[in-house]
Amino acid sequence: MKRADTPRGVEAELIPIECAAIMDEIAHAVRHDMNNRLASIRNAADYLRDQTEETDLWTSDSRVPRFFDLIDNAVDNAKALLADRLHVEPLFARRAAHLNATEVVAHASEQFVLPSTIELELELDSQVELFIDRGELMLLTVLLLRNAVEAQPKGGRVRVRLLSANDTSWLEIVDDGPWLVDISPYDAMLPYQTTKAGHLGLGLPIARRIAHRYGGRVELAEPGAPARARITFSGDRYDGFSSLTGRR
Amino acid sequence: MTAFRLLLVDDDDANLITLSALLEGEDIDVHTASSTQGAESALRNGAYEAVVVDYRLGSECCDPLLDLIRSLQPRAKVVVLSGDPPSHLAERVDALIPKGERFKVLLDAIRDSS
Repeated sequence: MKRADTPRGVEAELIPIECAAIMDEIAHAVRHDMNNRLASIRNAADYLRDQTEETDLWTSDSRVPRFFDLIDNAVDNAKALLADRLHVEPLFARRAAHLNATEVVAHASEQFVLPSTIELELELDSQVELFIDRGELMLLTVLLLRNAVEAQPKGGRVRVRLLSANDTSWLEIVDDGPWLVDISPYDAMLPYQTTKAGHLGLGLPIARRIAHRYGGRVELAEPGAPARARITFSGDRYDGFSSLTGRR
Repeated sequence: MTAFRLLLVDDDDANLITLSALLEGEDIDVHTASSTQGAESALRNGAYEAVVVDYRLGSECCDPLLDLIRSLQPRAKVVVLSGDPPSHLAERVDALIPKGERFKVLLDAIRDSS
């Protein structure tokens, strides 16, 4: 059993949103990691400057203070480049709104083109309301569905649950496949961590980013437990354009 | 005079050691942790005037740790550093500073909060 390479059904419908989400994830990951590196360079340079300023070296070789200024300016320029060149927000047209999540999750699940060997079960509370962008909720559902399907190359069952109680809602995707083989839940949430050939390892990080943008928390079952990804939404919170990680 | 005690939490070793060196140069008593669990242990075993936290600790965001700080040490001021600052956090902390900013920005935030 092999899934078609050309997106069909809801996956085709979501191509623009998924492309933007991939760009967003890559931009965030690069910005975060590069800013970390730049921070340690700047901290180290500041420390060395402090230690050197009172020594003869500072006055005997005029290049020393100039080079510290050069490092400082280079860090500023690099940070500005990261902010300017990795600004992908214009790719998005998010419209967060209170919507009927049951209808959206049902649509995404039913229009997801499944291999014939996969059986889909839906357990959706009626009229679950979430404050979220419709396209991103669909993409979130599709990313988790795709993950569940790919975990079962010989076929199996995928259950999609959307449940709600009090002020909290859960979107859960459960499957019968082997869960997180050779990768921990911790690593599975990081970009570029994958054991699947031909994959970038961005699906779960994108799902986590979308969930977190709307106040959701992503939990992945530990290895050995039934294969399950659960996103819990509590209350309303729209994070605008920025969000980082969810939690295990 | 009692030293200003600060807990620095960052999973990036390079940032942890370089920032510690700078803070210690300001006569701050710096304690470090590289994980949420390590930070929790430190918070349960000592009092801090300020806690400086990396927003992203491994694959986790620091939100649970912020809750813990508020619960265990409500008087400690909280400064979050991030390589890619999330706007929603600003209202929850005393300062939200992008990583790679000049050290003076962090120092001012800590001193303002002391």
